[in-house]
Amino acid sequence: MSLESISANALNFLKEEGADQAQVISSHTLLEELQYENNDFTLLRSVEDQSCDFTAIKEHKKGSYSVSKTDDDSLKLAATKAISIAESGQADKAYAIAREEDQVTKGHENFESGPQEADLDQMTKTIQHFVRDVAQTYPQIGLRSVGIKFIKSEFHYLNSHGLEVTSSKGYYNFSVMFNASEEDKSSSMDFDSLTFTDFDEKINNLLAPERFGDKFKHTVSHLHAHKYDKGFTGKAIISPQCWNGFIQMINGHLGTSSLLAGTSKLQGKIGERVGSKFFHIESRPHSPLFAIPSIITGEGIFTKDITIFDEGVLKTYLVGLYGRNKLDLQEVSNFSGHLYMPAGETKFEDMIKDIDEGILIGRFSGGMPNSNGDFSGIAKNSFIIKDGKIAQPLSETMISGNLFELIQSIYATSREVYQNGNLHLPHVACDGISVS
Amino acid sequence: MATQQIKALSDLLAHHSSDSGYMELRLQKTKSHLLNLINGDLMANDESMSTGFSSRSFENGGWGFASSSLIDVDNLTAQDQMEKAKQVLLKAERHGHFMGKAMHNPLDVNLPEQKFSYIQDRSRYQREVATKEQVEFLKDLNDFISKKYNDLKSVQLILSFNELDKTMINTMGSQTSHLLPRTALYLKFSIEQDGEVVSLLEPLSGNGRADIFLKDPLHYEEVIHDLYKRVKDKSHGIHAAAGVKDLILAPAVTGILAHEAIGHPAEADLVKAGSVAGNYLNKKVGTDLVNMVDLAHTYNGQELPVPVYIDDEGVEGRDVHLIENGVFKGYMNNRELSAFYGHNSTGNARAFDYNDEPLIRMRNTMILPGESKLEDMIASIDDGYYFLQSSNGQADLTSEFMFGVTMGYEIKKGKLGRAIKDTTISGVAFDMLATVDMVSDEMHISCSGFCGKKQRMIVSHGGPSLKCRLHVGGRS
Repeated sequence: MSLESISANALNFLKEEGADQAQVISSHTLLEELQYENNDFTLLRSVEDQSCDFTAIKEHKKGSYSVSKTDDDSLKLAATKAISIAESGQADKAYAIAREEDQVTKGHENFESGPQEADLDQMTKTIQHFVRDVAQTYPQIGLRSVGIKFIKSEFHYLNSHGLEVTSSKGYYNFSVMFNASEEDKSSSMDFDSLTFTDFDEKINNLLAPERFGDKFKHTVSHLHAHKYDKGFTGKAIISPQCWNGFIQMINGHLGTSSLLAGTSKLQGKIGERVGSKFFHIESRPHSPLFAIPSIITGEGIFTKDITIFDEGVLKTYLVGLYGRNKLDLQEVSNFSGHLYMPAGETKFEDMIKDIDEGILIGRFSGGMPNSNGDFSGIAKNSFIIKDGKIAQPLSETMISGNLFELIQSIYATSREVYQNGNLHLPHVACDGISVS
Repeated sequence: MATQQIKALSDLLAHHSSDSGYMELRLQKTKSHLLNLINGDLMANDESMSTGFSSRSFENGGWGFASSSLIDVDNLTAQDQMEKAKQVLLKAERHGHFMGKAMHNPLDVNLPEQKFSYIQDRSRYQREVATKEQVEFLKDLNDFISKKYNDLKSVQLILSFNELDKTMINTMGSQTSHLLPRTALYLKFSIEQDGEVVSLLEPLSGNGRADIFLKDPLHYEEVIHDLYKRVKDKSHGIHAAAGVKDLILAPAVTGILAHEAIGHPAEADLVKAGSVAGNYLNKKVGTDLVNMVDLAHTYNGQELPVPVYIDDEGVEGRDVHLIENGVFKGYMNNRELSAFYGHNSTGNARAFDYNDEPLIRMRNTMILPGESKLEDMIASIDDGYYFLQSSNGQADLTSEFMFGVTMGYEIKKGKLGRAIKDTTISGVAFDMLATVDMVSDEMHISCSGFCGKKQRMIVSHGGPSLKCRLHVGGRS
């Protein structure tokens, strides 16, 4: 049965069972994964998944149910179950299924992108070449895991207000996890990933060992990492991948849960300056800077590019239909992937030169910040910056600070930008980080 | 049903080429249910059930895996379903052949010939609680809390259920059919003090379906009062002082230490990848007081929260004694790595969903109790902290670890003092174990979280209170 037929049957069953509003998402996913661990290939894995997700609202009560069996009998049983789950809930007029007037932009009702089937030969060769080149160029680097996944994801969205969208996307994801070893010493792990749609020249360049050069060199230097002999509070440069984690923590304060619970530090601050002018974050779900677009949310809202923080000023929360209605907001705005932060004007090496004593944070392994934004954790793959130079590789070093003070203290962003198909972020220089 | 499914899988296995290597077949249903009530508003009321079939083959050191959800696991004996499943089996076999060719150095590895059968009596899990009953329970609990403690800024209650229902056979002759249900109830209170919002989460968990928690709110009176008192204390809390400190880790924190900092580095796949634990076999890594295990299913005659009688490679679940009297004794393994290291199989190969390949995963990981009394441990510290609850934790192959600490008190001159705000502790596990000089006689086990290692997995961990020295993050 086609996805369109599954959705149509499922929606009819929901209506027959008494749903006032409903939506159905039928999906089909193919995954091919080739994995290399330590010194050889270890796994070739194929997955074929099909599922149908039901959401029903009846008498202002909402429930959802997801199944992988999609024959008619199973769909009918699942529709009954979804209605039963909804009836068990509690009435809330904020529950909604997307209507035309809920849309914040026009969208495409049919969407197709990327390859439609895996090129296993290219997947194999790409891993073989990567492993060979790294072994030749960086013999102390141990590739603990290298993998390429091909994912073809098709879905069909249909709801009781007439919205219907079909999408088919194919893409590859390359991931690598590595450390350095020498005699009985081994460094911490580091990792990287890249999402792409074609094995073209550009991807070959991005997967060349030169692109990972600084990371590999830093990892090798961490064979001789040790504690810094004194604590201080001062400047820090945060790597783009690490900075992504901090953005996620900040965006957590813009979601429905924290706004409803009243635990968000950013509640009521739309239009206010909450960060320095360098703190500029956008979500660009349709930008060609990213490997695959995100065209629609799980609630059937077409995505659009949004600015979350405009040169330090909070522009929007990140809420879906329920959050919009419950909090009496204007628009659905939960588009928080495809994070974009513009390149700055300062060269990375000049950012380093500017610091007498500070820290270059490669990775942050920390506890979830508390409601006030206080965070602390280990600075992994990190270095002390001393007298304008990357000096000492660090081990067992804790850093702490406050998210909201951090974004106000940002004083530069790097000209160089990290892109991996999912992110477009520079290095970020800030102040007020405690090192102990 | 189990007998029919095993018969159907056996018929399918007959299609496996006899000159190919090891193969396993698995049918699985994975259920989940999430209810999330924030200040009385039902934010999530979501259920799911995924079903599917998977097949995995092993040839010359490489694995081929294929799975599909398009096979009706309740009706596998039907000819069309058998044909679809056969295609999945053949695909896994082809993948195994492909791996043999792609590998630089195909290995002449014989997986250990271990055969085990476990057909679970499922009658113990018969009761499925209606969603309506669960929602009513949460609403009653919310009303009870909100009326009694009306200065709370928010009350969040989450009831989360996951169940793995597996039927598996392999070419070694192992077979099994069993359920692993886990339910967790999370209570999160937030309170505002001087413009600052402070939150604290209490996770309760156990083996079973939602019925294990559906009790009168009065049953939770003590838990609720303790959580309220702690969040109130925390709202007046101070920042911990940064530096290396004498600490007492309560059982909940000891459990996450056991799992993250020592358990992961002791997984044989991570040892092969260069974990520092590979250097420590049969070496002293802690004081004589340190004893740590990954138990398969039973402790002191009681079944544990995550009982694994057989793993997903058809190996009997056996206890692993990781540390005995401070000496590091062994790794957790799967069939392949038990052969690689020449160790006995432990039965740690576990997959979360039907489309996941089995990986080496922990089961019930804990540091064993000692003989000290908690009050004596507190009295022995002149200037330090007592850490009661943790949030997330991470470790790497060097055994350097960190955990978030969400609740704790300072200890001054042998007595508990002020509460502290959220902080983080870190250290190197195999250094830290050498500082353990008191271990309490209590024991607490939790299965509330998921372990993430490529896939999710239900695990439990626990232990006593430990006295040790660790680096505390905080404001200098």
